[in-house]
Amino acid sequence: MLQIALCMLLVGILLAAFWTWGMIPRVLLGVKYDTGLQQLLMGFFCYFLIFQCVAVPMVLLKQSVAALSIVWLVLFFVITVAAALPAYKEHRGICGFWREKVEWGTAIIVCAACLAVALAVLFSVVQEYNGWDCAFYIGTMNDALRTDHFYFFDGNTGEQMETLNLRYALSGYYVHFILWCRLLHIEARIMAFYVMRSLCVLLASAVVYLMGKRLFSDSPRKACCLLLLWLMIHLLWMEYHTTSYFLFARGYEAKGYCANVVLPMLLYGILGVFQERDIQNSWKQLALVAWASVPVSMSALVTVPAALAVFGLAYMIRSRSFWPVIGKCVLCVIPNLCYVLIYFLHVRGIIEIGV
Amino acid sequence: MTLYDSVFDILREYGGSYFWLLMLAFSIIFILSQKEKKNRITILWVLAFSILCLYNDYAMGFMGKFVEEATLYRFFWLVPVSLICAYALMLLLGKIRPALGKLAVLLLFFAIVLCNYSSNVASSMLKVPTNKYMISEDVLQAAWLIDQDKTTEVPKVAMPMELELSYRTYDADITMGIGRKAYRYFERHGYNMGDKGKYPKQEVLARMISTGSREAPKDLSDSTKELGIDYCILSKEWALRDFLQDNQWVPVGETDRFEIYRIPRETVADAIHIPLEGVKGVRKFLIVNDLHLIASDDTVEPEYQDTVQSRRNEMFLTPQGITSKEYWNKLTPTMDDYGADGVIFCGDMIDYVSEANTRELKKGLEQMQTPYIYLRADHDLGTWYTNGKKNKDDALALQREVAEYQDVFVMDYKDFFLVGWNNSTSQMSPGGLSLMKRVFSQGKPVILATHVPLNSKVDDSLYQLAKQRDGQNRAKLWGEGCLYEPDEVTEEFLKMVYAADSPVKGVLSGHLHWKYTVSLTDNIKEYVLAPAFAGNITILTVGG
Repeated sequence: MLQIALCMLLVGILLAAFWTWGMIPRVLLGVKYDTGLQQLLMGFFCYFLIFQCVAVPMVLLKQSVAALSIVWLVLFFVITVAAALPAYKEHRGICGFWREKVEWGTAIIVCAACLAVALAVLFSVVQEYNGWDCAFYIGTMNDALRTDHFYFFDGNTGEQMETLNLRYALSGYYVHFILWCRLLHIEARIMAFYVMRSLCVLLASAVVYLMGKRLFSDSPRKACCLLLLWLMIHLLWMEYHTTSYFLFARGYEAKGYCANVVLPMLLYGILGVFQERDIQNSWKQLALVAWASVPVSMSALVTVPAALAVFGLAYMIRSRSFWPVIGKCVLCVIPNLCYVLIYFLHVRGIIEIGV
Repeated sequence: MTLYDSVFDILREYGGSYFWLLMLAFSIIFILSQKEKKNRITILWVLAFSILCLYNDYAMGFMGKFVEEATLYRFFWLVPVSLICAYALMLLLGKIRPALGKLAVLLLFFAIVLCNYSSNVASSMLKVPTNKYMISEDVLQAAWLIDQDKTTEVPKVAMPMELELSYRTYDADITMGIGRKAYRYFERHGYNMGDKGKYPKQEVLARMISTGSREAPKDLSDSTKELGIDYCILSKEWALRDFLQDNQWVPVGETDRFEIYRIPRETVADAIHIPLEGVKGVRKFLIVNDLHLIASDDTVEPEYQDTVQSRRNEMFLTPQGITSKEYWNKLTPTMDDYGADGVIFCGDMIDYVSEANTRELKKGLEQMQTPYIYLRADHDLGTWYTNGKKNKDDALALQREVAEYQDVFVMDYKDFFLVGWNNSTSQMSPGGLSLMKRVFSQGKPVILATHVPLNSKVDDSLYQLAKQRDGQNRAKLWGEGCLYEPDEVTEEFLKMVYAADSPVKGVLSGHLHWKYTVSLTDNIKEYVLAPAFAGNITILTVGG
């Protein structure tokens, strides 16, 4: 039970950290937020982007889990405190919604949506899912905790690898949760099923709520209705390989986050640009999501550039502007293109890091 | 595309069903009908570019060349089916004024969805979890039983596929005997491919585990031996207990649905290959290290008798409970069968010097025809416990009677040298260094054998692990900050090994009593070998 209590605590800590870290793009890049949820989601991407910058070089340099845990713990506290100060000053503006007078009807629907999300979280964490990918990812986490090294062993078999597999080692997602496993003494399977899945459902729901607000002229009532319908449809769309399955059963996997958080958030950013709502701000948000896509999931390696290519073409026609749109889209996908290059060289055997 | 016939196949497989594709199409059409002209045109452009750039057979086929085809479905996550359907439904509900009308439409929608819901996925997901791990109780019980019984740190376990899917998510202190690739292959091709199949070693065992077939004892024994299986988990349903016990498998315990057996294997042969560029053909060597042989010895001082007995009967045992002396007696008659070019005894072959221990060791060596070198280490020259040979000179004299003794052993195999650093628990002698210099200057690749491992210059994982696993937090390696700090002569030798133009292509070592592979420099790998007292030997192949 202690582990489950620690998991709940960690979910709380991470959500608070995401919200707080959302101040970093606000302060450094001047990104503006309409709601606290937007700040939380942007904070989530910012958090993983910064984590990636710290973790992946250390993983590629074959540093131990213990060493990275200490480095990250220190950075986590320093950055959280640094981001909390401006967050405190901005507190009034961000949480304005909650101090507004809320109609009874809206309040009931908001409560119903919260309850539905809570039930969705519960439904997701109790799934007894076991598959080859599950065995691989959680096995990899277990191996790292057992041996104090990242990606030295094959997650499925436990055999020592010849070289680091950059298909996994280029993204910090699993590394991040391995660190928290070590720091809080939580077993990998418990971490995956309780913390990683809960966060996936919570963040995916937050994206849909924001999307609802953007689609329905900032109406929280309609956004909550959309969220409720989306959850209902997801439950009834539950078949192997659908994004619903990746949300509820495989939400601990980076793929689950890619399908339900990263790509929907990218579409949310794209929608903002199309709606021409504070267009510079929307581009900044889009760029942040794109930059942080690989840190969250390697599945975003080519899906995000593909989405931005399609979007860029359509937007060029809509806005009748060519080079500025191309420039911004290219800027958004530069990190992914770098990762693609490294991964391609790895697949060709040109970049190999011996274990 | 070979995995899928068309892009529509991927969409249908990963989109859920035809029903949802239809729902998606209706939703998009309805949303288009509700939007003003400018937005409608934009949506149509997005759809057109999506189909043109992504969702067509040519684009998917092109991308399939760069990414695994099995991952192409991820591009369809860009179409948020559930969100589009929910949004269309919201727009539809917005068109209906009376609240009862909205409710009726909503109910009708979900009624249609439910009527078309044919999958059993959701119902299978509505289960009360059995434990906090959300894992079968069989896995928890099996992990506990193996943990209680195991004598090696990370045993290799063969188990049914359903357990392989979850076992290591709970307990990673094992390696898998059959594995994902082999099981997936058997799923597609069946268990009767024989030598034509891709996994002949795994096939016999996997067939028995999955179908309950009674395999020929020799095939079963060969399969477990070649794979190095320590434990096997089988379904009780197959009722194989008598058959397996006839094959000397030892029942360890049982879970609700499975039985766990320990496989009585005397020797696990780990395989290592060191590639040498430009060398034709392959040379094969056997390596035996850390046997810690202890024979019955009446020269042990009374105060050490308990210690020696405990080392003989508890510490140095194979997983089958065989003492190192018994194991040596079983191993030596089989050594020539491996057809090796040479055998390297890589230190600590006996636990301490006594006439009984050296006699027993020599008896085994005399049975072998394969040429060998015997590198001594601290235990081979250790004058502990006994009242017999008390000083080092006597110990050395006794060791010289067992086998040849030199500071450095050099075996010239035309294309490369195999060099052994004798007594590497002590500093290298000046004579040894000068011989090493001569060998290193020949321009031929060198394979170096040493009892004590060398610390890596590029990876501290061996150092950290060695400290972590040592009771006194010592890294029993050669290097700065390690237990073995080099003097000037040894330092010079180590510099030669680590040099960028070093001819050393691989380093073989023991001493730590656990297996590990580490990059010593960017060009050299070191193999720390598993101990012989636990039933391990190593087959080294060197060459092209």
